[in-house]
Amino acid sequence: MSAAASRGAAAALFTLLVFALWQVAVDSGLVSRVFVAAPLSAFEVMIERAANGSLWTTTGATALRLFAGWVAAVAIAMMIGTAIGNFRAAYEYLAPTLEFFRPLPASAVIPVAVLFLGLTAKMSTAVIAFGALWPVLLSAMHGFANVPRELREVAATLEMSRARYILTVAIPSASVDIMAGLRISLSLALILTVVTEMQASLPGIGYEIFAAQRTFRSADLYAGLMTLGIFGFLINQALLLSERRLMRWRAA
Amino acid sequence: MAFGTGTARHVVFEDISFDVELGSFVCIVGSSGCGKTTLLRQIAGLQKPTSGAVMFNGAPVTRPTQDKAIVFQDYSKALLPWRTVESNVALSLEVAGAPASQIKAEVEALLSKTGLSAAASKYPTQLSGGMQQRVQIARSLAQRPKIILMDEPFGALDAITRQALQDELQALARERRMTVVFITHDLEEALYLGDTVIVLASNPGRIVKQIDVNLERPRRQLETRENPTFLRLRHELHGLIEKH
Amino acid sequence: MRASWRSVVVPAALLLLWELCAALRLVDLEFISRPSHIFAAGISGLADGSFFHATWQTLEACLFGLSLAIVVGVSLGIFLGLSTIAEFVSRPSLEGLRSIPSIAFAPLTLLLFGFGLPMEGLIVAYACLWPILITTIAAVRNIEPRLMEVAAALEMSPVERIRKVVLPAMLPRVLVGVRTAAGFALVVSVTVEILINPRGLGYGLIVSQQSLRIDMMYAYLVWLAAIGLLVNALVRLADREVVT
Repeated sequence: MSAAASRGAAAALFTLLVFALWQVAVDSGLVSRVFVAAPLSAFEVMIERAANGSLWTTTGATALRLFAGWVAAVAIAMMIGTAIGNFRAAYEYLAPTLEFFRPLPASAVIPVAVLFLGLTAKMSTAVIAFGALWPVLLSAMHGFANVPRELREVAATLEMSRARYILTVAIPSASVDIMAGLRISLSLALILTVVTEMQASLPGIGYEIFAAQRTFRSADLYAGLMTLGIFGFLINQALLLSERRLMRWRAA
Repeated sequence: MAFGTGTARHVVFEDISFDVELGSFVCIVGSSGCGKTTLLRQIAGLQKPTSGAVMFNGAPVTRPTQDKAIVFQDYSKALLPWRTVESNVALSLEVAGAPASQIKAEVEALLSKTGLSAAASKYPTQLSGGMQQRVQIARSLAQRPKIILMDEPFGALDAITRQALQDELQALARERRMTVVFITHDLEEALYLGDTVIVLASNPGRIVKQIDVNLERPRRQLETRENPTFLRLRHELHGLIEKH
Repeated sequence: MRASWRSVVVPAALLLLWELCAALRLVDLEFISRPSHIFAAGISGLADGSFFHATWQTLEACLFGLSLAIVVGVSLGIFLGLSTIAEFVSRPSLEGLRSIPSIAFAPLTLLLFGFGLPMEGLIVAYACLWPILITTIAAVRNIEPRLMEVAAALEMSPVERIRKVVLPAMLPRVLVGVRTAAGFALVVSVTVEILINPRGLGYGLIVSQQSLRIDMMYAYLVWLAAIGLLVNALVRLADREVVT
């Protein structure tokens, strides 16, 4: 077979080997079943959940909350970012305050959010939105600050209105940075989704893992971790693919 | 049109005053740091002189406008990389609000005039330096400017491409009776292209001499450059630059 | 960032407005508190040493995790960087693992180690591992091939090669990864503390909220932001000192 195919096969084989070794380690009693579930048991749990539908409902619940929060974050970040990035006055008044909030860990707002909104889904979405907007905001600001001088001057020469400049020059120019910010923001949003689920016992993958620990059901715990891994991987791939489509001009 | 400009912040130049005739090709030369680029930017309206004024058709220049097109040396930063060649050229027409059919027709015409028809759907990063510079020129022409300002546009290109573009520019300028202000540090290029060559000195910048280039048009790379008048003027320019 | 009056106008005005609204009982104090009370709570937290104690606990976990991540990340990164096969073959497993947010392992580490430093440190280590691993692999891959050729020509043993060529050449890039990881460390440790681990600043934060000591909660928040700023500044300083 071709070089690429044989490499792919080797990778698959290695992955299987890892699982096999793991299974052996548990079966032989090398590691305690209480702490380390066997991969086969974890898979069993996953398949069972897929069959009775609970896999889809929990993943769906997590996904819904994730996207609600993330989309809100992106929208808010783009609005503020565009304002600050393109209007000198907004930048001078607001940027320093933002700089102060930047190093604050996103999860630190959880207690505040719980205070105002209780242990609810609303709290979760609010936390996700607040946390996930920073990477996008900062990258947008950076992108807008780095529009090449020549492009700005061309726009000035063509007597473009501010709105037109923002839409046809600034945003596309900043899109590379913004895309990077979106990727980071999505990872952060996933983390916050999981954390708030655990915190507020909201239905979702995160909560399942949490609950499994409480009841010492390690197979469930590992199944949850695997589900989360697959989910995280898929949404990242989805973002990468859309990025590639939108930024076709870069590859060219 | 008349240009009279004065001192800028670090006294970049003083007492510069010259007129640019409609339809003429003016080249500005001088050693590095004499303020050639600053001068061009003031003409374009991108910078304001600290004293004196740039007059364009009788009115002072206060800001950049469509009728003064600029071609930058760094073409990679002056083109929109996310737009195709034809889309880049169409930009000014879009901003002016022209109907789509008109845009299409004009862009096609300009692309063929500048030898870019084959590259119409390519992205700037897929093109060579010379091609990218042609795109900038095509885009400037699409603006229907009254004057084209060029800041060492061929400086980053190799010699062969440079000569090709010089001739293309020359032909375009003749055909459309363009008014051009062209900055370069290449003395031969200035003489080859210009009707007038203005020599700037540095520290502070000022006009040393304004030379009229009375060479026949169309000019040719080999013949013109071996013309006795050309050679004499070249010597003169070298001497002036060396002294200042 | 210019330290002009404009940078402080907005926050200063907001703080003042907040204090006034609270003082005049215009707003319900219950969840919002007021700047003066928050400040007082902060002072008391500092005075009785609880802030420092909590800060030290959090930073301990950060250092533990970051160090572990550096050791594992750099060694594994060198190995995978040098061996294309190993990197390719292990990629699916690693990508899969990487997709799991570090915090999801908190229940597991809790199960394995109970409350305290190790469970938190391990989560931090897991989170910090990835940026370090990825940048190390990239750093090794991007070592100037000529350097490797020289090493081969000098017939260096693999260990020597790593010590004398690979490590110094990849250091700047790896440091970028460490810097990113350091940023994660604080966030992750605080998150674990808020969620389940009864130690550190995160714990102080959530306990204040749960016991409705609102002033103290906000004070912890401000202190956290300040610590974050400090850590960032230290990282940037270390970066400059080590690299230059």
